[in-house]
Amino acid sequence: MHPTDRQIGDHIDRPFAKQFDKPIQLLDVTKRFKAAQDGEGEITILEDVDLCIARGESTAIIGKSGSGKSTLLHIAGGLDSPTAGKVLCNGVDFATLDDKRRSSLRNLHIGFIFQANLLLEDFTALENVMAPAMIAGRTARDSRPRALSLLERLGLGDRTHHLPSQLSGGEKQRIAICRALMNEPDVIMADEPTGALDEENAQEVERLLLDLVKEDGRSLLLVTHNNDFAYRCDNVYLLKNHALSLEKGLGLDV
Amino acid sequence: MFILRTALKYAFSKGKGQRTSSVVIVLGIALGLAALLVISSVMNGLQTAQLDQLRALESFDVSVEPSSGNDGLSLGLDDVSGIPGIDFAFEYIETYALVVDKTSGKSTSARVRAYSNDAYYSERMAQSLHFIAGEPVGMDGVAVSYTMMNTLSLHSGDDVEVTFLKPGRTATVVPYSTRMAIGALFGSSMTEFSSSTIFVDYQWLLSLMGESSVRIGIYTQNSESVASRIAELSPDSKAVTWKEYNRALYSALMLEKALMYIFLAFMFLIICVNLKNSTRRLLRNRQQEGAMLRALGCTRATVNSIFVLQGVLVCLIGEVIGVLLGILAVNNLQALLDFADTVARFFTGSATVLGFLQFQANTSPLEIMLSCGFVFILAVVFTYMGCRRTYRHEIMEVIFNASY
Repeated sequence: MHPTDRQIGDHIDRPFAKQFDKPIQLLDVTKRFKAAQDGEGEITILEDVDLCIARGESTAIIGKSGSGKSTLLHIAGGLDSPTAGKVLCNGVDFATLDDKRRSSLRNLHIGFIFQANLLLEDFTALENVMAPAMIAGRTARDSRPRALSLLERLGLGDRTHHLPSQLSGGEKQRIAICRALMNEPDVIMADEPTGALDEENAQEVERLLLDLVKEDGRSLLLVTHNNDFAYRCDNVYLLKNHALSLEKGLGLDV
Repeated sequence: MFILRTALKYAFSKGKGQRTSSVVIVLGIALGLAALLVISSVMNGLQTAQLDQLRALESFDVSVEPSSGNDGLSLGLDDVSGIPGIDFAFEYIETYALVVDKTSGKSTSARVRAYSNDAYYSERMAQSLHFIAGEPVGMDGVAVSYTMMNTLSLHSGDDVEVTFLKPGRTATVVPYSTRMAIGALFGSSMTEFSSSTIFVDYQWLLSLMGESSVRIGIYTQNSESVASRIAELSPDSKAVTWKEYNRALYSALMLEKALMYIFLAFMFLIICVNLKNSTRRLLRNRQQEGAMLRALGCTRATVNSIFVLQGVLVCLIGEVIGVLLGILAVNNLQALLDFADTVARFFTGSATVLGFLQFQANTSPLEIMLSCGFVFILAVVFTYMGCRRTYRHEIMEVIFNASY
């Protein structure tokens, strides 16, 4: 059965979504890529992976480069599809949704932060932050107050009308955080958010991310090489040999 | 709203020459459309003016003549005048003659025309045909134009020998020569008509050529319907509309216009290829942003529509500027020609033909709409083609490549 728009949450309060203690669940997820263009042979990235992200908790995935951490994050966020298994977002299986509903689910329930602080180059800091709300169908006038308050909260009140090219790496990443928080998502998914920053900025971003998640009662799924950052999260998983193993915390049974 | 805002920002983005590219395309479309508008308006104006003169003097709107094999019209002037939609109808005779000036020995062939009395004073005729000296009605002699006077080195009051071919008793036609004085002088708005036509008195020519040579000329705004009504009333008569009479010229004018449109269509085609390449380049440069937009919650269709819309916006802006420029140029055509003449005179030091040209521009809203529609469809198709092939990558792949 297809989920209704109400389940996906076309309104900001999303009372239905708040009933879920596990905003993201991965059930027996397997991901394989074709080894070459001609399609002969496959490379296994993930094999029967189970993962559950609890509401209000931070979870970090660590592992070597090429182990499949980012792939896991993209699958968890509905950016990519698993070869086998299920990914549930607030109880809704991504695989059962068409592109419109899947995009809407991503827009309202998940906030992404990437290493390369992918901002929209021609948009000002304020417009970048307002983008998810405008994609959700809200007007610029309606979105502006929350975007401004987020920018103020992250110390970017004087940078609202600057273009990304006029901002430092740390500032850009903070704007990416504001943008991820704009639609009050249940889960923040961060892929190496401090990877491109110097130590000072990296620590600032780490602190902000963890504090914001705790304060707002959101969940954080973090992929990082930085073990110090990872071990400040509630749960830490190591991705090795296509599977996850719990390194810290209690984890959560799917 | 987000799509429109993003498309507009993308279309005129400062980065990687996108703004320059879009501005060049906007200018190309604007100038092309303005040129199209000016050229088509001027051509319409010239066409209308030329055809109006032809219809007034040469062919009339409809002329009724006996069908081949019939001896004279079976339809009278009163029958024709009673047909609804006819502004004015008159009898006339047309034949050909050789005009010789015995003094100078010069000769020329001429079309001889004679209109029934009131035809010369009808509104349409009087606008294009002027008698400078003498009266055409009851004229004792022949009316010639200045051009023919110059051709034959004639002077006012001279005699000319005119040789007609009149119906004979035993032979079909026999030559008939007579000396005629130049009894009137005329001018018309068509040089070719003036230089090849002479007028004689209608009654005199009627007595010479006989009733079978009489035709009926008609002025009407509904030539097609009048012609078909005449065909219904009298199958023995042949009603020739001005389009049929001037078929060669009319077709040439249409062909000229069609060729101009084809030529300009090629220009728009080239501009739209640029639009396609610009969109493709934009898409390549913005692939990561496209992927980011998808991560933020845009559907694939939304992201594609942003890229298509930016091309459409560039086209629409070009069209609006083009139409405004075109209308401005058409309304100030004479001033533009004077300016061009001044510039040309500055460089050449002498007056140019531009200063004497008098254009009557005639803008057709339908042609403007069709031209805009054509350019718009072309732009949409080419922009879509620019988006279609490039945006193939999965978002995860693009974001992954952007991150590492």
